Amino acid sequence: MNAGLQILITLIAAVIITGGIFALSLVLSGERAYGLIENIDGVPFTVANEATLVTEKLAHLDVYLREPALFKRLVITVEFDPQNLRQLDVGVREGEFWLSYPRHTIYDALQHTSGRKSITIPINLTDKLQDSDRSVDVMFFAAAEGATSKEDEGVDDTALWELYNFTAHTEFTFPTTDEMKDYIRSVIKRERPL
Amino acid sequence: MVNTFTDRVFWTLLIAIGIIAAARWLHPATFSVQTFLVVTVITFIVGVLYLKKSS
Repeated sequence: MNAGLQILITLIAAVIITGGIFALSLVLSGERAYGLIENIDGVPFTVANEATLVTEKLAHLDVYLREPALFKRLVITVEFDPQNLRQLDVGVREGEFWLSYPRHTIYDALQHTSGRKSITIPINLTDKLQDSDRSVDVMFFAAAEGATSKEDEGVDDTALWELYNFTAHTEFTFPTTDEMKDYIRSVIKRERPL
Repeated sequence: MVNTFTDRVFWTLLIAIGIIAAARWLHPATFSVQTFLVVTVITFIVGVLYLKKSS
């Protein structure tokens, strides 16, 4: 066998090995750990009795994946009491800009009854921003009665809701063409959280 | 005498380390640090075997 062919076989074998390792990581799924729910300055919210009292418009937590976000969706279940909210949205960060979260409404006072409830929502992850520790950033957007459109209302923030339970698990799913384009673009551009 | 099978496995793993490192440079979440370390340790062991057999 000539040297050129041997080098080619070695290269192909290396690509197959790394491709195989990557493909194996894509089929992983299951419940994933998450960090504390914090405000945008990284200060955790108070836990009283069995619930976390969220007293600001924006609240985020990290979900620690064990796999790449490609071909994955995150199914999150939130058990909460909306208290004085008129709307509660949730989103997973998709870009370098700190507030780039496509929002999914999980509570709307005009459509839902008040009181403690549990909502499950799937969010595709392929086009989302994954940190170097493989975590994704989940943000809650609370809109209280009379709230303005500012992200941070400081001492005027009247938002109050209670988080009783949060679970997150990953599932395999096929991304859309646009999501795949976003993923490829983020790899080529080496996107990182700013 | 060089053991050709060990030789090929060693070079294959070495290139695999390079691919994983390049992928992590582009997109750190593609491969975990643990994967990188496991492949590196296996390559090191195969490399030691390769050197022993070739000496």
